[in-house]
Amino acid sequence: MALELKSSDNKIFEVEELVAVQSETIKSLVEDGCADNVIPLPNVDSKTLELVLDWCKNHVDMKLDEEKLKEYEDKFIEVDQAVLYDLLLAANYLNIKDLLNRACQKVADMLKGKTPEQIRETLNIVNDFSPEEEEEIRKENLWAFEE
Amino acid sequence: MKGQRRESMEEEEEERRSERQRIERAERAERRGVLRARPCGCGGTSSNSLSSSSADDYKDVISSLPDCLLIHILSFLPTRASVATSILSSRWRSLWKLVPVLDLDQRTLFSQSDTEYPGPTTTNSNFSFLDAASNIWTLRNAIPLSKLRLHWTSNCDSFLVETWVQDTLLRGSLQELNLYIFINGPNPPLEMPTTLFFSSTLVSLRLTGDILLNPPPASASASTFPSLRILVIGGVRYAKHNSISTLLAACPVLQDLSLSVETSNFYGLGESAGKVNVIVLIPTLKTLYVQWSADDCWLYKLQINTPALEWFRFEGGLGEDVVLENLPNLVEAVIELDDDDSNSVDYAKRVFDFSRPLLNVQSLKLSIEDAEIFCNPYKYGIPMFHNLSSLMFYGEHRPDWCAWDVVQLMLCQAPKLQILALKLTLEDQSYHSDFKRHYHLKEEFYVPECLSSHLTTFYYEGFSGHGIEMELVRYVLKEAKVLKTMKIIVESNLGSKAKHCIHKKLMNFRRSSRTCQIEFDEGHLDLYMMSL
Repeated sequence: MALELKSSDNKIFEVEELVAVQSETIKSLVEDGCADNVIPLPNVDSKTLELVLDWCKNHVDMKLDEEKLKEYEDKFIEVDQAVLYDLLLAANYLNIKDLLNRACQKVADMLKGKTPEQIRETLNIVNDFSPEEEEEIRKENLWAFEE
Repeated sequence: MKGQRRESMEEEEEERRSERQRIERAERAERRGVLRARPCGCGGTSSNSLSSSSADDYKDVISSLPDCLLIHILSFLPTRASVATSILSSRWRSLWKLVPVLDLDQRTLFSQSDTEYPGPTTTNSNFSFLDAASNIWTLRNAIPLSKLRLHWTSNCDSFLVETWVQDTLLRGSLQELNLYIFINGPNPPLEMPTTLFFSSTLVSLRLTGDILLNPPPASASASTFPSLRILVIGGVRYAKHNSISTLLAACPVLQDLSLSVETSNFYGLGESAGKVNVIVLIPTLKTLYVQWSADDCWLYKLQINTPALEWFRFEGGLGEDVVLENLPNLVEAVIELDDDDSNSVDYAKRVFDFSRPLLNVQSLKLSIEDAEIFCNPYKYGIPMFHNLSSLMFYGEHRPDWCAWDVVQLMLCQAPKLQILALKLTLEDQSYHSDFKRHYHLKEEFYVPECLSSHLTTFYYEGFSGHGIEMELVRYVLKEAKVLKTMKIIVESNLGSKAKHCIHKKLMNFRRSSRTCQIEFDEGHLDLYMMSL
């Protein structure tokens, strides 16, 4: 049973139902009988959708091989920040729990072991605190900031 | 009056000034081409603009994600790192407080690296765990928690923890609770609040240490755990002799149970009128791990009747009242039976009765210490493991270990065995020089069926090259007609010359299987406990 998904930039993807229902969002549509026509996904562009569907397909194919699946996941998630956030948003919108968690884990890994200054640099976050405010926050949880 | 008004006016002026400054800073940031943080719009935010719109590397892309996603990301960080994000920017200041997961571990809270194996409790001279944990709790301001884990083994403040647990339970959305608490000194244990036993949301409950459990009796209103699937109780205190039974009876949908039963659980309760009953009668249970105190086993009665059970692990002694029944779906059993010092015939019968429901398993792991008690049931017939395809012996052994009989016996009793594994560590190195006795494999009149037709894999970890070990390997290589893989991992403490010598000997043994590959591993010092 094949389903048709349409990305935000109007590209149509044909997918096996078994693959597509990894997304809880799509699964509910199927169960409610609303999946007969093309399913529009206005919040996911074709580039991201292609990646997401690759994830879903491999999770069906490699379901029984834990080691192989982990290898795939580790390689899959090695993407640059912008793509990573697109995946995050898509996984959230499509409600694909394992992809969402893996992507969040990847972002968390980027933050681990870094000082606040280093994190700001990696993620390009602008520090909009005044020096007094910063001092106040530091004092609130001194133990968390001690080098 | 006038003075006060002037003060408040000054305050207002100060506020307005800092607000202006904040706006100006943000405007400057925006002019530098930074996206403003968007409010939470779960599921509705467009992903189009992030990667495709511009190759500008200076965009603060992450802050454009909705709050719910940032909070989810923070839940994957160790607590310290999560709290530290409060200083990144005003957007991030309070996000960590909204994470519904809290992990407070005395060993790792102050560590800066992501250590997988925490060492002993880190004592930071500047901060106390108590202060840091209390601070976190206050700042979070009772935002509901779905998962709480607390590991506090040095000077735990039980009153404080009781308050935290009570507060968390009252918020009503707790799904996972994990407490590992030890209170130093003569102080009373932490009393779990009664509200715990009325939690309809709890899915996983793990308790170990100086914790007192007093589950309300089943008759007093429906106090059950309607959602509880995982229950792990290690060495806690019970308020009544029937507390364990009460607790187990309140878990109708439980899937995984791990229970440690010992005398200290009932400390201060005096003697029970009858035996302490531990009845595991749970139709949904899939895995069960019981650590059963052997010391006073006549005081306890253990009854297990779990038709859906797939995995069973038992460590302990077999008292008179240990009944195991109805395990038709059991796939794997891991057994460590303490020997009965009196070596009575009665004990042999008990071992036999205990083994009967295990005869259909596909995989069996036996602790080699005292494994020879499995040889005794000969008098009552020889139990056959007809479905057994994988057999492992694990544990610490000594060179004068005389339980090799069990290995041979099991080979004869498992006709369809495909995998034979030994995962051993040598107990005491000083035995090497004293080792003079030679044990030999028993002479058998027939070759066990599994060796002629089923055994494909032989795995031996902790091989030390002693006489009988070599004999076993030689025997298997000679008789196993369909053997495909033999992997030997040598005891890492041996010298390289000895290892080389062993390797050479092994390669010279006659093999009856032409397709057999021998893998020889020099072994490396494994500092961590091997997992089962």
